[in-house]
Amino acid sequence: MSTTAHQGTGGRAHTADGTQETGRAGEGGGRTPLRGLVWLVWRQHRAAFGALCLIVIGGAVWLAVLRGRMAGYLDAHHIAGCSLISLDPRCAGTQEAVSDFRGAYAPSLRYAAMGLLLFPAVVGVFLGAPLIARELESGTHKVVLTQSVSPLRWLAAKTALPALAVLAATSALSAVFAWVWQVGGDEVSGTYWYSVLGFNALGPVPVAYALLALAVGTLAGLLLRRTVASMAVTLGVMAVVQNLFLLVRPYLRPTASAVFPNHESVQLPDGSWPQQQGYVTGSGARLADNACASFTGDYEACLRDHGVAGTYYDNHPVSHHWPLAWTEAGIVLVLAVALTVIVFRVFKRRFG
Amino acid sequence: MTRSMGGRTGRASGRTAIEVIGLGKRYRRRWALRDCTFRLPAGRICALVGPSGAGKTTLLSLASGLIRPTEGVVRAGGADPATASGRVRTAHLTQGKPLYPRLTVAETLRMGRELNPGRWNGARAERIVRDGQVPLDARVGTLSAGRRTRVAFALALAKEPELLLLDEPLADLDPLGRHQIAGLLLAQAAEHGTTIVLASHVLAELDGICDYLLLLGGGRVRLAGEVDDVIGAHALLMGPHGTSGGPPQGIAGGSPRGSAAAGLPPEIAAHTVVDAQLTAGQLTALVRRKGPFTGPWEAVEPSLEELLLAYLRAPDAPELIAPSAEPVSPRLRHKPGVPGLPRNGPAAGAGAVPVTRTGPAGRGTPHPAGRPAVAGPAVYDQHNGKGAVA
Repeated sequence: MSTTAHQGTGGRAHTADGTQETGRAGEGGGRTPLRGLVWLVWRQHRAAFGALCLIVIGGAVWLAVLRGRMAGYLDAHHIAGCSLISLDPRCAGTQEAVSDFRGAYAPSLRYAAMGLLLFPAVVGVFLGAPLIARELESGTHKVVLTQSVSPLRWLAAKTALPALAVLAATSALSAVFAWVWQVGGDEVSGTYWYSVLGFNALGPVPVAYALLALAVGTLAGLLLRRTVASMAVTLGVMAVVQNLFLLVRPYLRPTASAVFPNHESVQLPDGSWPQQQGYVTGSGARLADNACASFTGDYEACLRDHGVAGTYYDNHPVSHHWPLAWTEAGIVLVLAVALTVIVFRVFKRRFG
Repeated sequence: MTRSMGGRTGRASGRTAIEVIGLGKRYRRRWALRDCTFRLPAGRICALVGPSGAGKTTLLSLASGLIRPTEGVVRAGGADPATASGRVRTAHLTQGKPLYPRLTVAETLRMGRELNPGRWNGARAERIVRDGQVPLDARVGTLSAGRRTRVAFALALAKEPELLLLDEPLADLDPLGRHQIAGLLLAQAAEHGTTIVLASHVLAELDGICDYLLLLGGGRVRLAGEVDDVIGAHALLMGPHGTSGGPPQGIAGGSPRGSAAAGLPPEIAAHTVVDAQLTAGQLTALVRRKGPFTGPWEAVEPSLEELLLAYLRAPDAPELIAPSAEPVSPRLRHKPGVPGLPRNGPAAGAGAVPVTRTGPAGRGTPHPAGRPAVAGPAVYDQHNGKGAVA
C-alpha cells in the first residue's frame, strides 16, 4: 500500500529500475560482481585487502629473486646441503664457500622468516583490531544494523571475508618461503627448521597465527570498542601467545632418543633438534648430565662408579618437523575458532 | 495546519505503530528506561521529548531492535523489532547520523540497495540527494553537516519504512536545511502514511511538524497523546499576583491536588497546577483543567513549547496518558511491590471544552480550594488505564 507507483506494477518494471540503478552506482562504486554484505565489507576494507595483495606480490617477487641467486651460488660452488662443519665427504673443503654463502644470503633469508614471524601480529593489529572497534567507535555499525540485514550475517561477512583474504595471503607467502627454504634453508644457511624464525615461517604455522591474530583483534575490538586500545591489546596478546608456544613447542610431540655407547662420538644426524642429553647406565637407567659435574676426583672413575654405559640424546629429528608444525598450527587454529565463537556469542547477546 | 493531520486517522485507530509494555533497559547499574508503557497509533508524526538522559535514544534503539530490552516488551508494527520482519519495516536514523565517511554518496546509496534487497527505492533516494544538490561522487566525509543529513535521510526514506525513527535529526542543520528536511518528513507522512517518531530537545522545531506527543522523564512516560488533546487539556492562566511577601519565583508545581501549590490563589489551585512562574508581579501558571476557570485570570491555550517547558520544569507533575496512547495488549504483571502510578487524566478530546484564546473563561463563584466543582459539559472521569481501546 505504500509506494506501488514508484516501483512499477510488475517484476519487469522493477528489474528495469534495478539495472538502471546498477549502471548509475557503477560510476561511483566501480563495477564488481559482489553483492550485498560481501560488497560492503569488500568496499570498506579494500585498502587493507589491497595492502595484503601488495605484500604478497612484493614478497613473492623478492623471494623468487633471492631463491634464484641462492640456487645459482649453490650450483656454482657445489655446496648444496653442506654445513659449515660437515661429515659428508662431498662437502670436503667447502667451508669457505659455505661461510661466504651464509654471509651473503642468510641475512636475507632471516629477514624473510622474520617477516613471516611478525606478519600475524601485523594482520591482527591493522586488520583485526579495527574491524569491529572502528565501527563501534564511530557508531557506523548502526548504519548497517538499521538496514534490513541481520546483525549476525553482517558479523559473518565482516569476519569471513578478511579471514579468507588473510588465509590466502599467508598461505601464499608461506608457500613461497618454503620454496626458497628448500634451496637455502637448514644446513647451508645455518638457519634450521627448529629455529624460532624457521619454525614460525614454515608450513601451516604462520597461517594459523595470522588467523589467530585476526580473531584476537576482532574480539579485542568488540570488547574494548576502541581502535587504538584494541591494537595494543592484540599486539600484546600475540607476543605472549607466540612466546608461550616457544616454550611449549618441544613438548608437543614425544622426542626420539638416540643412545651412543661410551666409545662412540655423540653426533646427532643433520637437522636434528637437540633436546635433553645425559648418561645411560648399563641397566638402562638415565643419569642427569651433571651427575659427575661436582665430583672433584677422577671424572672417569665417577662415571664408572655410576655404571655409565653410554650417552643418550633426546631430540626431534627432521622427520618430526611437520608433525610438530601441524600440531602447533592445529592448537592455534582451535584457539582462533574458539575466540571467533566468543565473538559471535558476545555480538549476538549485544545486538541480537 | 499539520495538527489537523491528526484527524486523518481515527482516534485510537486500529493500527498500532509502536506498542511498549513495561519496557526497561539497564546499562550496567543505571536504568536508562524503566516501566515504560505506551502505544503510538500508526500514521502519526510523534514528538519524543524529554530532558537529556530521559531515555529517548534508548527507547528509539529498543524500538528499532538495535538493543534488546532488559525487561518488558516492545513491538513495532506488531512484530519484535529485532526480527527480520521487524527490521525490514523500520528505518532508524541514529543520533549523529553516522555514515561511512570513506564511501561516496553513490556508494552509500548502493549500500542501501545492497542491504535492503527488494525494498530499496533507488529513484527516491537519488531524488532526495539531488534535491539537496549533493554531488554523487563526493565522499560522505567531505560533505557539510546538512548534506550529510540529506544522504542519511535518503538512506532511511528509500527503504520505504512503515516506521521512521529519528534521533535528533535536525540538530546540526541551518534553518533552511531544517525547513527542507521538515518538508521532506511531512511529505513522507502525507504520501506514504509513514509513522514518524522525532526525538528532539529543540522544542520549537517540533511545533508545526508533530501531531502526537510523547514526553519522557526519568525513564518513564509522562505525557502521551494527540498534541491537540494534550494542549486542550491544559490552560495557561495569567494575571497579576500581589500577595504580601509573594511566592517564590518558581512555584513548585506538580501536586495532583494542588495542595502543595501553597501561596497560589484558590481559583488556580483548584486545577492541577503543573508549573507556576511569578515574573514582576505577573503570575503565569500552566494547569491541567478540572472544570471552568474562575477568578480574574486570563486563560489561554498554551503553545506546545510552553506546555513542554512547564512539564520539563516540573519533573514531578502527574502523568497524562491519553486513551489512544494506552496499549491494546494486556499489561504485563510485573513486580507486585512496585504498583504503577494511577494513569489518570481527562479523557482527552472527549467533549473537551474549547479554551478561549482571550479573556477569562467564565466568572463564577470561587470554589473551595481542593475539590473542583464539576460544571458544564466537561466530564472528567477518572481513567484507570485499561479498556481505552476504541
